[in-house]
Amino acid sequence: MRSTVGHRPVKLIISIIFKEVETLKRAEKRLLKLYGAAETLEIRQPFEWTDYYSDELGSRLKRKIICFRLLYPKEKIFRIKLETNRIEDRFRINGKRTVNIDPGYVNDAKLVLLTTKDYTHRIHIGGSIFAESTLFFQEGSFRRWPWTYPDYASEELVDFFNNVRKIYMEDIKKVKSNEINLTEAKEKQLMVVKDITGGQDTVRRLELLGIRRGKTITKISSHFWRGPVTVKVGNAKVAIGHGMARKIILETP
Amino acid sequence: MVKNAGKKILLMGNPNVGKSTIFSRLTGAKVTISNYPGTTVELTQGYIKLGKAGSGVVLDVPGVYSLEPFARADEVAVEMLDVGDIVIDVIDATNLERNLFLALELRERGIPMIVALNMWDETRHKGIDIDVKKLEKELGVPVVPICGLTGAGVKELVLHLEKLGRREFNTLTKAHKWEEIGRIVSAVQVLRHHHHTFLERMEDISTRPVTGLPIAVLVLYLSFIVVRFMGEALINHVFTPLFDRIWLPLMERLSQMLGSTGFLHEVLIGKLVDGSINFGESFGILTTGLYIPIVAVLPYILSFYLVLGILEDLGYLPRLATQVDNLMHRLGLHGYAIVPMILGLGCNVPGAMALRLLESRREKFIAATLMAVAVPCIAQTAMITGLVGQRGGRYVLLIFGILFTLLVVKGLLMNRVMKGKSPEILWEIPPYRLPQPVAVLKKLWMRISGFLTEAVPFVLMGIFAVNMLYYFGIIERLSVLFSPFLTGAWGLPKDAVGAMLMGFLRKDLAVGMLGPLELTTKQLVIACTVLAIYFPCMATFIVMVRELGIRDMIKAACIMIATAVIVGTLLNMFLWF
Repeated sequence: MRSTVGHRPVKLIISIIFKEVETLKRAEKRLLKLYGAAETLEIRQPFEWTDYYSDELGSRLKRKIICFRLLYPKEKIFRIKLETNRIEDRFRINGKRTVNIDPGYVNDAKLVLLTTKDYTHRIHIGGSIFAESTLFFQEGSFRRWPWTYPDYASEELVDFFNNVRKIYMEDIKKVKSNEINLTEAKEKQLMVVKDITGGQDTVRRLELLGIRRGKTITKISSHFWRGPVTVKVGNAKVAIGHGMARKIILETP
Repeated sequence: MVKNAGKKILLMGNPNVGKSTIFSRLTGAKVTISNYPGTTVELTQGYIKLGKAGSGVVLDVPGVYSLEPFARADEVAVEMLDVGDIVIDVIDATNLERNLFLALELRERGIPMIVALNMWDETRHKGIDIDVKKLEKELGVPVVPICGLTGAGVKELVLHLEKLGRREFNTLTKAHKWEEIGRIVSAVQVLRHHHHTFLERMEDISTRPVTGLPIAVLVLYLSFIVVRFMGEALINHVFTPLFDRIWLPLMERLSQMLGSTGFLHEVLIGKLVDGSINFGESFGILTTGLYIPIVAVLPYILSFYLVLGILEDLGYLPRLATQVDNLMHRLGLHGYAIVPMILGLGCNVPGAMALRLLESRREKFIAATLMAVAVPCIAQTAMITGLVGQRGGRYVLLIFGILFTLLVVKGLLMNRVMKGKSPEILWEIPPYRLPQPVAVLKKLWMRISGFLTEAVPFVLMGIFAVNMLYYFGIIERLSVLFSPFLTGAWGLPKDAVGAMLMGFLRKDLAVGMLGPLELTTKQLVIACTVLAIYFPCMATFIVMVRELGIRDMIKAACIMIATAVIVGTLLNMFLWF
């Protein structure tokens, strides 16, 4: 299995289950307004996997999955489920839902779905929201877990998510070119500290030497064989060990 | 610890802000250096005249970036705040923003405080304009621009000290402090474009690895030459003549008074060699005991600390440490471990004393073991070069090659075997500043008196112990015990036992004792190598015990002896000449 690089944003996907096309259009409009433009890649299919929703939504349901262009920061992703829940509520008629909206995300290693329902394999990630790893990526394709819903394990959806992942991998390359760690930075180039991914102690020690979020720093030199990196911060120069330098995330100003 | 002598003035500030220069400007000649109780953190104090207010004590508190402690030295700084009456916060004017964090923390403590805006002269050619009046208003405490290098502004600082009052400040959270700092800096400071000065250009060159590494090698080589030259000059032209002309006649008279024999004579004067006192071999407390630390070691320590002090005040050491950090990390150490190693090349005693620069027990242990095994002191190097050099330069190279290989191999091994990792470096590289002679000499004096009061008593005790071992015949029994091993495993003649035993005391004399034995070249190479490896000399041993603790030192000693046994035996088996 692939390990995920800790600091990268993820590709937002949202599944919409509906009966009336009109409802879909309105819900979709609302979502696009919130999360920006969608990729051309999308999937529409009749939803016949379960009658779990038939009480509320009725029969002969359809589903559409949208993939958004925007890459979303992982640590804030639980908020999306809270927002889509509010949208669902807004579409209620006589207390019954007319649309079911399930957000999730794809990154290089997995498809994650967000849910309000706790279960053995689901982990709380913030607010009242839990996350479930629904598919994992191995040897060229997404694969199912024992708990994966049969619809998500279907060939059609797995193909779809494989394609989403391809787009994501292209996206993340571009992100990476803008956001690098200190060891990758070019010498003499002004960079802005975007984040420090180390522990509290590391963050504090760097902070007191003038290296903290939003500060402009210039790399002066780096040593061979993963040696220390020296940087200029204001009028001071600081030598930083290679490991610590990798935790300093920079972006071009 | 702190004598009751008027107001206690704490000199605080970030590291590398020129605190020690200001310290030597403020205080008179009488300066004491001591360890903060229960730590190896050095605490320097001096006395100051305060006009009508009488006199005061100035305490040079270890440099910190913040009052939230990371290391033991930081804790000491925070504890000191409880005993201080006044705080002088030394701020590097060229680094205003970073320095203000500590200033904001300090003013919240409610101790009367004054800010010394140091490096004032440097701001101009660095293109920095600071509005001092405004800064004073923003901070709410007096601000005095000074220049520790020339002494400008120091008088005003002292005048202010007499009339400082207490003021209350609100406590800000960390985030608010940074916000406040941002506001203050943009209000009081204007930056202009400036041209690089000569020293700044030198900084760039010595930081970049391509040019920095050759420069590091050059600096080390030159320091080594200077120290050796100065040390030898002092020994030959100052200390030896002094001892021979003044001390020797006194000792000879004492020896006669004691009747040339007896226990007391043995303890104080030692054995007479060919009917007269021999400072190298008599082993009395007053003869060899004083001769070794003062004549043989002190000159090297003096010249080493002088060169070290200059390099320190220049700001070169953090650069050197950064240059070699990579290599040192592979050996289980980190950049600053180069300092004890270099010192050790001169004399292992100050090298061992410098072990306290290293943070972790693991690092101290590795550095001490490597130094004792593979770093020959200058006196030993000189003797080996002299004696073995007669057989051909390549044999001298062979010995040092073996030692260097050992250093690398053992470092790699210990790094693998020992638990833990060497800590990641993170330190400021200060700009180059021309060292100020007064400050350098003052520091030199403090260190020398530290050596005399701390190390010399131990050496005396060591000499006494060895002397007693001889006196009671224990050494002879040991040599009978060890001589089969010596001849069997190392292929050395029985007579070499004496030299080997001498090696516990003085490595250079031990090498010298090999001279008359008519050894083959192979035997000579083995003997010299083994002598270098098997144990540190008595003085080094004692200092190492103090820095490492007895348990770690015993472990280290076992490693040294084992290495000597293995290397000696291997050499005996495989040397081809």
